Amino acid sequence: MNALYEIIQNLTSYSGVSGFESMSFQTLCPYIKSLNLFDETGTTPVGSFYGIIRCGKENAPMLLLDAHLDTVGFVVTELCDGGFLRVAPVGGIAPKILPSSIVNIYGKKTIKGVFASKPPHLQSAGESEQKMDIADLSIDTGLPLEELKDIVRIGTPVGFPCELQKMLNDNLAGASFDDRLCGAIILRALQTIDKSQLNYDIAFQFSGNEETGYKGAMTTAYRLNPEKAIVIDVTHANVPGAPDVFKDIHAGKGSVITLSPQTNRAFTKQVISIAENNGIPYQLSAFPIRTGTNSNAVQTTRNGIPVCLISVPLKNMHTMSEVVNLNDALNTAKLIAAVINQKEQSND
Amino acid sequence: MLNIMKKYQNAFSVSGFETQLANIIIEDIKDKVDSIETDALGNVIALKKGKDSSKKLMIAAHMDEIGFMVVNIESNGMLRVANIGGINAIASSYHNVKFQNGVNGILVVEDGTKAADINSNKLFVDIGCDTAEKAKRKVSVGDVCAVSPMIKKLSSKRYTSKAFDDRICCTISTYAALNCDTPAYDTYFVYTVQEEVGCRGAKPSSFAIMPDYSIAMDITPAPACGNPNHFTVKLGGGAAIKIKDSSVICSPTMVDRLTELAKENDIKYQYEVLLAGGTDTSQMQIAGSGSHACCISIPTRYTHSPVETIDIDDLYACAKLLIAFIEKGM
Repeated sequence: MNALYEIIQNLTSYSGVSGFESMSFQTLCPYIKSLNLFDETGTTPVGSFYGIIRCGKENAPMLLLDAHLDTVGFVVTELCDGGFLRVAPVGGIAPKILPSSIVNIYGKKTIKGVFASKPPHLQSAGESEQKMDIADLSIDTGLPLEELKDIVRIGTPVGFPCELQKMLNDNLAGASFDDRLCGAIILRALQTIDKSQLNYDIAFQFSGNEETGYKGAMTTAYRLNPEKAIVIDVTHANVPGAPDVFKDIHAGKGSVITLSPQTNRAFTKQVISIAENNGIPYQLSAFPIRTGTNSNAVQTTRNGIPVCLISVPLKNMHTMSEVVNLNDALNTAKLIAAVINQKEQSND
Repeated sequence: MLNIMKKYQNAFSVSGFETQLANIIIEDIKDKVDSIETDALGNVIALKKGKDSSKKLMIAAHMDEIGFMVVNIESNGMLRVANIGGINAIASSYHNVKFQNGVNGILVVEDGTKAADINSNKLFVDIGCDTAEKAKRKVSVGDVCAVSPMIKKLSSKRYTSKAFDDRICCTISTYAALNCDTPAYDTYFVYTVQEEVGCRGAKPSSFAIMPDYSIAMDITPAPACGNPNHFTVKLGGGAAIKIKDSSVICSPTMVDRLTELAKENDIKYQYEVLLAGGTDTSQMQIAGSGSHACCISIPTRYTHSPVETIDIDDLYACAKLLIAFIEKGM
């Protein structure tokens, strides 16, 4: 678990607001290379990182593992008097979580800001019940406007802080587990496999632009041209008030395997039986329509790619305090490694 | 440039029916490019060879405009129409319209409709015929029309017309193709079809080209009066370098390079964050293995109305910035 934790700690320690992933490359690329897992690595114009493990056989088929690198965040739309910034959301963010939260502003240098919040003493009756719009909120930077203009411009990305908090019972809180956690899980799984036994290539794509339309996944999968793909993302774990569809998804009870028209049923069943045979805990969820993950984008790339979607249960998605249970992450890494170790993989 | 503008503004080119404008454009640039073709959807694709042919730049401006299609010819000779693209029904009603075959009509609203209730379900076209039989001799179900061409100069440096979205950017592209020095890369000037109905022309044309760098040319809403909240661009404020719209986050590499070129060449520029509305940019960004994509927008007032308004200084700023990128590249 420590090996996995170390990777998680590294991958969640820097920003990569959707569309601005290249900001993270100078830290991310050397780190992943230092793990010595891949024979080839690269980055793409759409903000993805990829690495390929070659099995050494000519024209070998490829299994693709996808997680996304980008996170939700904001871009600056206006610099206002008094050192306040107005922003537009990048990806889905609920405005009501924002007042009083701390953010990083990635200008010429990274500065801290706080979403301004009107104290209850100053609010008129009923004001706290009113609908909130992100365009009406402002971020306090504490700098005079003239100084602020030297650091920030319209279009500067803004993100949640990148700090992990350990909680009891192997729980972890942080801002970018969606979906950096799953990138860490894939890297951990690849550390545990026996590469000498491979008879197919394995590619890892850490996709950009997921939160804003799955663009990194579709373009990188196009470039890699795999035979099959596993998409690893987070899903909603049950919390009080959750909709029925998520009532039976529990943090700590294992990976969530999704049954959906956006995934391949035969491949998915195979993964389920591998989990069964290896005693790896899992949960099932059904998404009759959109999974809201890269699975659809990868599924429809080129001539079509069979996809399996494995998710990690997570609470408080798209907030600065997403909560996951490390046992779920560990079991997901085990499941991916078990799938890779099945030698029949390339024969069906 | 203004002559090209006037010529393009007067052409017929509703989404899906762009041939007339396409032919005018081909005639304008064919002698100044290395090759030119029209693809199956009707996109005009012109190539100008660059100094470095290992890289490709794609420039997209869309030829189509919003319009109306006849869906039923009523017994009283009135034509019931459906919208093609995002029509502002209130702004379009009680204007002259013209069909591709030259038939004139007026876009009217169902009798008794309150102003606030005007929407595209209430719109009819009156071509002056009293019976279905007479009307059918002039138009058929499936025929399309658009607000009649009208371009006027306002005081100072401003022009108003329908369909500056995105004809004005076809003008910029043509001006750039005619006036640029040898491009840095192999440069594809693409005049796309069907942008207003879902960027359908940009998708296959970008896949055919598979560019390394892409620039969409389009308009962006600029505020006029009332509440200017949530707009970041100003009419007359210069070429707008897009940061994002609802379909794309522009590649930071391209935003930075265009900013640099604007500064070096003394071109007035501003940044644009558009909260609603998409452009061809996203389709170019995701073609094949992906490209570095951005959009240069020209600030436009009263978008999707018959009186869209632009500033000539912005027009030249956009053209200069585009030409600077074509010639210098990254």
